[in-house]
Amino acid sequence: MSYEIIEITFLVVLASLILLTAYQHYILMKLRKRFDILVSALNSRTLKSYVKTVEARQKKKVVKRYLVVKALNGKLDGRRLNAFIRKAVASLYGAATVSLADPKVLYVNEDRGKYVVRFRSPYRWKLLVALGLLQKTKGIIIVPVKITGTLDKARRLADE
Amino acid sequence: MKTFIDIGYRGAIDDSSISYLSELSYRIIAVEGINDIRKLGRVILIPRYTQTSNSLKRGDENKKKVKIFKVSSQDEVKIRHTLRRFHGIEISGHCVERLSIKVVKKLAKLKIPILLDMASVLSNLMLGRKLHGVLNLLREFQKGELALGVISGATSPAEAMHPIIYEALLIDLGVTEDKAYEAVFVEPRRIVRRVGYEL
Repeated sequence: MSYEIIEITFLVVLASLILLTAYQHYILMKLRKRFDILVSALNSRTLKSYVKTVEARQKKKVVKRYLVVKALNGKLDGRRLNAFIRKAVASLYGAATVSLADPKVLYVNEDRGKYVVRFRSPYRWKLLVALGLLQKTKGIIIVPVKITGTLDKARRLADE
Repeated sequence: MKTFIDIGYRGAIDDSSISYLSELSYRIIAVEGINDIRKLGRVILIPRYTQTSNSLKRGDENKKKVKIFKVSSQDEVKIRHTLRRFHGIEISGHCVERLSIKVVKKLAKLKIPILLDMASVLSNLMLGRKLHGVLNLLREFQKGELALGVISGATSPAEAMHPIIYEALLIDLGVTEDKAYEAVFVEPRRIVRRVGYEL
């Protein structure tokens, strides 16, 4: 009896092997198609945009930063510089960015020609481009010295 | 402080301009009209040799000079065999506005660093003109297809800007921070080393 069972299982395995070899190409093609679908799904725009939205949902705290700048040609009034910077940011990126970036001159060391400008950290590159524009339009050569996290440190750098 | 190497400064060099430029952290400047390396104050001057398609001739080949080919229109990129002997291709003028993807890909195949004139980019930005050429270049640069360096293109010290502002401008145009850093600080140094100066 047991000998018969072994014989039957052997036959079944043999038949399945024959079937596998016969349809090997077809099965591999099907598997590959599924794999391609998986890869394309991983690279798809929708997935990328989904990851971006998930990242955006994780709220990052917008911190304020302090930029120490040095004017190379002549002394400038703090209020004038403030107005110039806001105007430059507005002309490049619009009024909405001015309110979001919120640039403001907080401290002036007229003897050394150094200024401390407060801004919101995501807009640091925009502020720097605006400083470049300021140089181009008004002729004020402004050198960014350092960006700090505290006003005290920025003041110390401005007084150095 | 990061040091900046400017290969494309076009202004006159005197003591006052040198003091200005050193304040802007320019440490090495490639200048036309000199034959040897010089040091003025804190700034090192190295010789440069610029050619355009109108004045293509062989000369000063053996001297240790930074050889730059200035391109101001798309058609000039077609002279491919002659471009290979230059250390960099300067993109300025109309090319900032218009430089098709095809031409950018041709430039990438040459494997010569592209030098972007930031003065013309900024002036175009100010005047509200197109920046399609620059954007196409930056897209290929972001992909890693071509090497890009930044030059000031300033004709006077007042026009020269701090390198951080150039970096900010590149980031604002869509380049990642590390790539922008590479274009401003790394690539010009590579070019100077390729010429033969170990500074």
